[in-house]
Amino acid sequence: MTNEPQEKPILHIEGLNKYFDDLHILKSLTTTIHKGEVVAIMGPSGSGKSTFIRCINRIEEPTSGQIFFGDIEVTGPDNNISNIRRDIGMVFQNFALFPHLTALENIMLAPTKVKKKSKADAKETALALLKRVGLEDKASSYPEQLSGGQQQRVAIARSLAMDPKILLFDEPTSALDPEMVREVLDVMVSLAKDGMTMIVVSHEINFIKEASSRVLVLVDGEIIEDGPSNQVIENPSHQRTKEFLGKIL
Amino acid sequence: MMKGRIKIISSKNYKDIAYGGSIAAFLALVIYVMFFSGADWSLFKEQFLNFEKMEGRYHIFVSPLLLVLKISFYSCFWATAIGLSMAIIRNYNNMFLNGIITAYIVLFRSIPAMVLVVLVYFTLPYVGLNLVSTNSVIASLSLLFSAYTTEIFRSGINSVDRAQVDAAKSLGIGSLQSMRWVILPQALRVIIPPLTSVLIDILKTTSIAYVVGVPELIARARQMEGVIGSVTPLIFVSFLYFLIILPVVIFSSRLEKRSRRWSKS
Repeated sequence: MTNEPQEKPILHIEGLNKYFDDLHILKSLTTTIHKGEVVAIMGPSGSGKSTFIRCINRIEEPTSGQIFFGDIEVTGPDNNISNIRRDIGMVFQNFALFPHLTALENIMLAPTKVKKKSKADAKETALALLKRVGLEDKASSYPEQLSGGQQQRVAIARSLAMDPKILLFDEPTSALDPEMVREVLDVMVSLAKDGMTMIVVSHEINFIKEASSRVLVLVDGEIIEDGPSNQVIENPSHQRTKEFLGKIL
Repeated sequence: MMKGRIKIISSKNYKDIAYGGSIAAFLALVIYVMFFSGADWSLFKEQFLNFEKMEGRYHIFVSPLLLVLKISFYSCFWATAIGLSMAIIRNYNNMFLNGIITAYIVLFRSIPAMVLVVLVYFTLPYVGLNLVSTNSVIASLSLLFSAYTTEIFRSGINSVDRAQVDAAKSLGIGSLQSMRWVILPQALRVIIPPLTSVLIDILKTTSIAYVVGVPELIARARQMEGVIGSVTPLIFVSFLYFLIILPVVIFSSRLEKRSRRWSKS
C-alpha cells in the first residue's frame, strides 16, 4: 500500500446511473475526486446535480454503478451504509435542522447516539464548532429562532461534529435571502482553506472562483465539462456550458 | 427587557383567566339549570341522585375500581405498544408486512368490542389458549384499539418532513435511532390529541368486560341498582370514571405542551 502514489482518490464514481421510473436522470457518470479537492457542480436546473450528490451517500439509491469511498464500496450490498455515512457529511438546501432540538443539541445528537461519545465530550466539541461558525451565543436557540443563514451555519457545524472526511453541499445558499449568503459562504471558504474535501452543488460564482479548484458541469445527466474552475468559467469548451454561464453570470 | 417580560406573563395570565372562566361559566350554567331554574327535579333526584340509599355500600366498588384500573392500564399499554410497533414496521415499506397490517386494521376496526370479547373468551380455549376473563378482556381491547393507534402513529410519523429523515441518515443515524430521536419527538404533537381520545375510549370500553362475567364497575352498579331500586349507583360509577379519566387528560395536555415548546405554531 505504501508503494502506491500518495494521491489515492477519496471518492471514485464509476458508471453511475439513476432512473426515476422511465426517466434517465444520471447517465453513466464517472469521475474521481482526490483528498483536499473542492469540486463545484454546476448545471441548469433539472440536470441531475442534486440527485448526483444525494447518490454519493445513498440518500438516493443509485440504479446502477459503483461508488468507492476510499477503499470502501459505498454501493457494496454487504456494507453497513450507516457506518459509511458517518464519514460523509452533508449540508442540505433547506438546512434540515432538527426543529425540536436546540442548536447545541442538533450538533451533539449524532456524536452521542452514533459514536457514543460522552455528553461532556460532545458538548465541548459542539461549542467549539458553534464558535467556529460564529454562533457561540446561539447554543440554546431552537432552529425556529434562527435566521436562515444562522441555521445553515449550525447545519454545517452539525455535519462537522462527525469529523467527516468529505463534505457534500446540496445548494447550500439557494434557500437563503441574499444578505445571508455571504456568512454561509465565508464558513465554506474557511473550510476549503483548512483542506476539507468538498463537493458543492452551487451557482455562487464568487465562491467557485475563490474556493473551488475544479468545476463539473452537469447537463441532462451527463458531465459535459470537467476542469479547473478558472478554465471552465473563463473559457468553457462546450457550447451548452457557454449558454448556461451566460445566463447566470 | 423587564418590560417585555412582564408583558408576556400578563398575557399568559389573561389567557388562563379566560380559559378557567369559561369552564366555570359552563358549570355554573349546568348547576343553575339543575337547581335554580325552578324546574321540579325532585323525581329526578329521587331516581338518579339518591345517595341516602347508597350509604354503607360504597365499599362494594373498591375491588371493581381496582379491576378497571388494572384492565385499563394493561389495555392502554398494549394498544400503544402494538400500535407504535406496527406503525414503525409499516414505515419500512415491506409490501408483505404492510398487507398483513392493513388486514389487521380492517379486521379489528370492524369487529364490535362486545363480539371480540366473547370470541376471545369462549373460543380461544378450543385452540388450547385459556385466558382468565380479565386477561381475555385486556387481550381484546389491546387488539381492537391497536388498530386505531397504528393509524394514529402512522399519520404522526408521516407528518414529519422527509428532509428530517435524510438529515438523520446523512449523519449515520440508523433507522430505529432516527425514529426515536428525530421522528417521534416531532410526530408527538400530532399524535397526542387523537391518542388521548383513544386511551379514554379504552378506559370507558372496559365496561364491556361484564359480558364475560368480570365484576367491574358498571356490572356492580347495575346489580346494586336492582337491590336499592335507584339508578344512583350508575351516576356514582360515572363519577368514578370521570376521576379515572381526568388525570389522563391533564397528563396528555401537559405532554402536548411539552412537545410544542420548541415551536411557535
